[in-house]
Amino acid sequence: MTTVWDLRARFYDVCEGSDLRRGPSKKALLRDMRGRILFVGVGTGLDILHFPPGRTIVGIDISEAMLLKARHRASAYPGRMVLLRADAQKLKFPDASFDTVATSCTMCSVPDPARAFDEFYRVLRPGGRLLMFEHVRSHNRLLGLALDMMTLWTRWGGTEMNRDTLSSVRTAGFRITSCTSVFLDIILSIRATKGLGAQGEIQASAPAPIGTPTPQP
Amino acid sequence: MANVIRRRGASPSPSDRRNEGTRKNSKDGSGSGWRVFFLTGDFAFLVCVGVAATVAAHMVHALEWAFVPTCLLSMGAAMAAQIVLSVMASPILGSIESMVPSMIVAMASPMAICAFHLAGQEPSRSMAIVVGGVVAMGMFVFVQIYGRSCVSSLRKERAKVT
Repeated sequence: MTTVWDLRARFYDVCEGSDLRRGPSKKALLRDMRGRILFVGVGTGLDILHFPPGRTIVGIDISEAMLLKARHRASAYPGRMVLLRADAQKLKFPDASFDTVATSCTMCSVPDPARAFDEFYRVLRPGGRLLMFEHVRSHNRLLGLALDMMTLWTRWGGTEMNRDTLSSVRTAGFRITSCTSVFLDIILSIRATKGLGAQGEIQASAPAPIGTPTPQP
Repeated sequence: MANVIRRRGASPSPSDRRNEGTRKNSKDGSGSGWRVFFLTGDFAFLVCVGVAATVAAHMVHALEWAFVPTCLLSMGAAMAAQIVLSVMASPILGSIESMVPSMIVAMASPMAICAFHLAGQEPSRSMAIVVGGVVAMGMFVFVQIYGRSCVSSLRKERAKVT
């Protein structure tokens, strides 16, 4: 898997340089990054341009070649940013060590998304936020079929186009607080939160944590 | 459609309100120019794919081989044309945004050419171009309508639970 992404790093910026269209939606989502932030799948650092300034961010990616390209973008970021090579399925951070976990077109490429979501849940503090800019399988039969067919060959490049990421988010115990369409029901801007109580469920009597901005460090 | 959950009785968060405001502003302000640009780009791109796919299918049918291999080969040729055009368009229009609708166009338009041949008709090249254009326009309209329904249903679901 790492080799695939090292190879893809060479062409990634050209093939995935569709920020012209997705940029405003990404910016609106990532503006909600608060406190200690873990950005999973930083890639070549294309998304760093959409990070709000002045944040403390740990960016991880499985590919060293991707991180190599991301470093110059990270050095230009007006805030604190650290890049690390790490696997989303086996995070080496302690429990509840982040206030926000963010991803951008990452969960299509993680071999075992359920494990990765469990890890996100673990490293997030109770009430912490999960922000995701992801593409998922469409609920429309025709579009869903097209995505299934595309997956037949994109899978070889490490990307699955037909994942039910929203279900995986819920299964991991997160509560989805908002879901906005970026392109049809395929590219979504998702906000979720880790509950304060057991199994991630927010207690009815608990003070409303949804969307409550976390004080900056 | 995604089932959006919000805790009953909870009002939209300040950040959600702020983001909705931004979306509206970007639509009304500088975003409207980009919206027209992408609408035009999507339309032109889908028409290009539709025409290229049907012309490719038409050229394969002109070889006058047996029907089934001709259909399979014409589909393959249409898909190849679609992939090349999508890769070229993706840095501007977006990879998924260009790849997914155009794939359906590249599947449907050669099928139309095959259907003509199955019915004993021999469509001319100009007819093939028209068929490709019509299928592409149909897909463009579908994407616009379905896109609006996705946005509104997600909004309604959110409003219902708040």
